[in-house]
Amino acid sequence: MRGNEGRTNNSTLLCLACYEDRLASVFDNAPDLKLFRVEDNKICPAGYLSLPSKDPKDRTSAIMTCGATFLICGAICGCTMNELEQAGVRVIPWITGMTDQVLAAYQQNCLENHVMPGCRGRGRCGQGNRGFRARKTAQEAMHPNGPTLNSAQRSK
Amino acid sequence: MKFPSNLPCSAVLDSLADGVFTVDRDWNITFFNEAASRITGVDAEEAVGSKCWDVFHSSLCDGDCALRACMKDCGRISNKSIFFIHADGRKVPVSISAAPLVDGDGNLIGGVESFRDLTDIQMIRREVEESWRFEDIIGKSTQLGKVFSILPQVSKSEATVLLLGESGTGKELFARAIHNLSERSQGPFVAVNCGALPDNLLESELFGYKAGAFTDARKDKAGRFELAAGGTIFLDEIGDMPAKLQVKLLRVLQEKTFEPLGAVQSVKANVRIVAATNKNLVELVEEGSFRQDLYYRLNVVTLKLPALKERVEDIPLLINHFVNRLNALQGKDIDGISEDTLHILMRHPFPGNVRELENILEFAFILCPSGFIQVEHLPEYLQPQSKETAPHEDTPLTMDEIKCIAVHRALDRNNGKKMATCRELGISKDTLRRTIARCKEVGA
Repeated sequence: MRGNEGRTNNSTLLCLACYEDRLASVFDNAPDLKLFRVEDNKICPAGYLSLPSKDPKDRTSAIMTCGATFLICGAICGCTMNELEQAGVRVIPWITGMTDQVLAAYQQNCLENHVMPGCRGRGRCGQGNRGFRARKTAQEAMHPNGPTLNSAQRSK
Repeated sequence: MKFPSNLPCSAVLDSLADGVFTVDRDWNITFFNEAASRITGVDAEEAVGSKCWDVFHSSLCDGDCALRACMKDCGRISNKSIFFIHADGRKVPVSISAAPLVDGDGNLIGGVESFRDLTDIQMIRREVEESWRFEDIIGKSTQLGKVFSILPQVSKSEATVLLLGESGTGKELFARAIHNLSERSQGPFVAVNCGALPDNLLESELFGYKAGAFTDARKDKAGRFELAAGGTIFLDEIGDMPAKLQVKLLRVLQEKTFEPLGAVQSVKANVRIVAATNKNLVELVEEGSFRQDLYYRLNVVTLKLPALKERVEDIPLLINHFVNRLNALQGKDIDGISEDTLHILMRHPFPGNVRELENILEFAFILCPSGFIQVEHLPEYLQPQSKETAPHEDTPLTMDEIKCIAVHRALDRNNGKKMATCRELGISKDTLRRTIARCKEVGA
């Protein structure tokens, strides 16, 4: 894996589980991980990883090895999500869209617009009721000083 | 009676127990029935208009779409087993069927997919598989069933158990099962292979020694009997135990005490003994290489473990078990073994028993990248005989051997189908059955 040069303490390494140009429908099956460095609200490509193994442990290790601490992905199995969270990776699951749209939404702090059908605004995706709350918390954590979610954007 | 003309098609589809959805050519969902909502956890209002992969999130959605394949080739897919992720994070096993949708003019306008929740079926299958499992021993054969039926009572008693069976029949697994089911299950399980250690070392390994017992004995060393205190000691290959140690073991069995090398006092042996051998102990007793009194002391409860060739019906179960285990260990996704491969393994005599089967599958896992294990992934000696490896025409063969070769080759050619083999060889089904049995007898 290349592209981790020049890492600074203020930057965040974001990982997107992708299939071609969109977020993969299922993280547990996603063929590719795309990495992006977020620095001062700028997002730069930071690497690419092809994932041959379907084993959740291998996937967690791959993400950890890259140094990514945030993962944005589509549907994810509860066990896999636990595995990732226990390894210290903050997961923003049940997101859909083209990679560039998702990155733009992340930048504008409006990922809620890209939540998969069946998860919108009801906090029911993921394990129990934790899914969407966890997403919001993670997003807030990534944007500690960033703008709050814009209700106009949310209802777009 | 005619189908009511005022009944909308969607009402019929909504009454089905299977989930059904349709997509247009851009993969937007155009219909989502009630069962689909119930099974996926996504409301129809939200699903309709969304991309199908955002709603169904199945294991095929990223790159291996069944609908795409159907729409591309105008074909159909039936009963393909996959999983999708439910909105609550559960992995749901489903069986899907897919087909293209065409309008009245024969133009492709999209696709339709139906899916059936297999969670209950999978649970039942798992329960059935569990019922064929006893601790870590797997099998549903009558021979094994007999052993399973008495194992709990045998385990609960404190009696010494002698396990007899060919190499690779799982003697240690049975010994562990006896330990796990006994009152001593919280204590240690210590296994010793009496045939693997040199005679002089075996004594100190089993009984330990005191400092100064011999030149290098600087400190006391606990033996395996001491380490197994409160638990079970498994003495494998007991038939290879040297005569001197047989006396000492006899004393442990009779008086429940032993003396470490160089010790002046006896130590209490609080252990349950499970011994095993692949040798015929009666013959060893007759030859004089095994003590008769020890044999009778060990032979309190004897369990004869069947060889794999005696329980052929367990082979598919064992294959399934090993494939699952190797998938988990190696992070692979092998689906199982092909029918041809299963035929070959079902006919193999397995002189190495379950261990040999496990090794064969481990070998096949190296060569098989994914999907089903095929014949070419098997070790060379299991491949159907090529001309180079076939016995030379000049090699003298007995009539039994010739018959066996003819039968095996005909079975291979006919994919294991017995009636087709009978027709080819011009023999009756009874003759074929007798010949196969004879082949097993003579090992040809």
